[in-house]
Amino acid sequence: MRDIVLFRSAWVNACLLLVAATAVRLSLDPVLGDRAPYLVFTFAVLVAGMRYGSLPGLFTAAVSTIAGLWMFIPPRFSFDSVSTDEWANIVAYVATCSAILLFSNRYRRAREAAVSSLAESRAATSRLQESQQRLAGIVDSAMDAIVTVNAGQHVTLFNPAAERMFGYSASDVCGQSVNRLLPERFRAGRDGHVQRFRQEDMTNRRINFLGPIYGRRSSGEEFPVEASISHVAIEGEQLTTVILRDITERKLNEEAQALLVREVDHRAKNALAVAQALVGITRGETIKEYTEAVTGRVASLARAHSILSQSRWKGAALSDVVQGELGACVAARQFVLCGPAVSLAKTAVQPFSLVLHELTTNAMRHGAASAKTGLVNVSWSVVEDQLELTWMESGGPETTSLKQPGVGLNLLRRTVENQLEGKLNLDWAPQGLRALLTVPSSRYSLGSGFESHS
Amino acid sequence: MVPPNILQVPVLVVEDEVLIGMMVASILESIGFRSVIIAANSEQALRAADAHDFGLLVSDIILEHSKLNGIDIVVSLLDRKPVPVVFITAHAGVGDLQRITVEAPRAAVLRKPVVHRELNNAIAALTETWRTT
Repeated sequence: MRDIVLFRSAWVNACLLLVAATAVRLSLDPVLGDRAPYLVFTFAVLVAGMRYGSLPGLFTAAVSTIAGLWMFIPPRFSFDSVSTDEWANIVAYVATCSAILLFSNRYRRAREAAVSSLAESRAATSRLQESQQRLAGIVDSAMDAIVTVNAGQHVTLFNPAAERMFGYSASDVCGQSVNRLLPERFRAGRDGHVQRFRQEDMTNRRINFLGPIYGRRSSGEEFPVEASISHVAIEGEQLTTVILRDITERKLNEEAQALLVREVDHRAKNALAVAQALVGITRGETIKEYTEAVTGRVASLARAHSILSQSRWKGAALSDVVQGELGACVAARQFVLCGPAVSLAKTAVQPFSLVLHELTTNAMRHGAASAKTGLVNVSWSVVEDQLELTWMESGGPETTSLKQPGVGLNLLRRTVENQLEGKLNLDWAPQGLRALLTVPSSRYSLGSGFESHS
Repeated sequence: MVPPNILQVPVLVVEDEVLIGMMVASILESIGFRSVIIAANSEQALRAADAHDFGLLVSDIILEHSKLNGIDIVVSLLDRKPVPVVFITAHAGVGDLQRITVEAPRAAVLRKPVVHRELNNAIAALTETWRTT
């Protein structure tokens, strides 16, 4: 739209110029008379050509030639009988106009070219600034430290992440030697970090494959880094940019992971050794009996492990262990549990499970749990810093003391006396087995750290 | 083969995991040892050593609920009387193994889980060197 308006106004202005020139020439008539009929029009053509372009200039020249011929060349206000001199005047005017228009056309083009090249260079400058700002934004907001070092090993760029990582401000470090960022042992010599960075032939690469790299904080603390490096020559100056990532935390995580793997390995080995021992010490009259005894004991071991793993190997609630062992084999209506909240130490969970498993198995085979009317009553309390657990059977067949201590009884006694450092009292009363188990305070604590049953 | 006269001496098994202790004891009994005492910690072990004149020590290294570890127990018992020693361990560190080579240089070290043949061979080899020195 604006172009069209400008275009229109150029033609209108050319017309106005013609009118004005005519008026001026008319007003000068008393002075000039018939002389210089085109004098004023020459200026009009010059202005039109310079300001409004070649076409309005041509238009102005053409119209003014005819108008001058008609108005100012005698005979006035007619085209009749023009003298040879006047014709020469007209030709001279046309030639002058052509020269003026040619010149103004050149002039305009040169000016346009200058203007557009100026605009272009302005745009280029702003693009450059924009890209520099963007780059600066990236460098400033990067999580990784970015440090640029010149050929003289002086720091020329130190971004905010580098400030945080090394504990120096950019103004402290820029212009200074890069050495203050490196641990002493890496500063100089063939194996120095900087030397190594320089020796890299490739332009860009990670440099950790050459071995671990360390930085040094302002506090003097060393820390491991992962680094990538790039060499750039700008205006003959060799700049080395190193991008660093602090991997202290990752290293710690890796160590924790390795520790966890070792711990799991220990536990698995231990569990397997115990299972192997169980298989080794179990005896049976028949293969079926033997298999049942082994699978029962291994299942008890597995229950102890799963209870322990629920508390992340901190321990287990006594009620959970008792419930787990009795509940696995005996109907719920045939046993009763009663006692305060007691947590077993982690080392006591597996022995306790095994003891209760042996008692349960005995009750199933010979005791109260072998009869429908039988009942197992398990109660515990803490008396004088000792955990006392009473196992009382009733309603089963009349019990008799075992003639020979079998593996189960032996296991029971050794587990209580050796491993739990406690006491086991077995009383084969006519109404059922009565077992009293006493355990020292090192194997339990009062309170429900791991209680899950009410 | 383990010489018959060795089979007469009482054996001390130090193992905090009673099941493993019982299994080691049953292996020892099947080898032919007459008397095997199991201890789960240093107190039980030292008390047993007061009552018996052990001719062979079989010990775990890392012990739960024990003042001394297996190496400490063995070293203090060797001070009383030098006898053959077998260590059985699941995960002894390098430091433990170095200590054993310094403080109980003639001890055999077996990895858990231990089997009959390994324990038998280790005891046979130990008693062999014991007789010739």
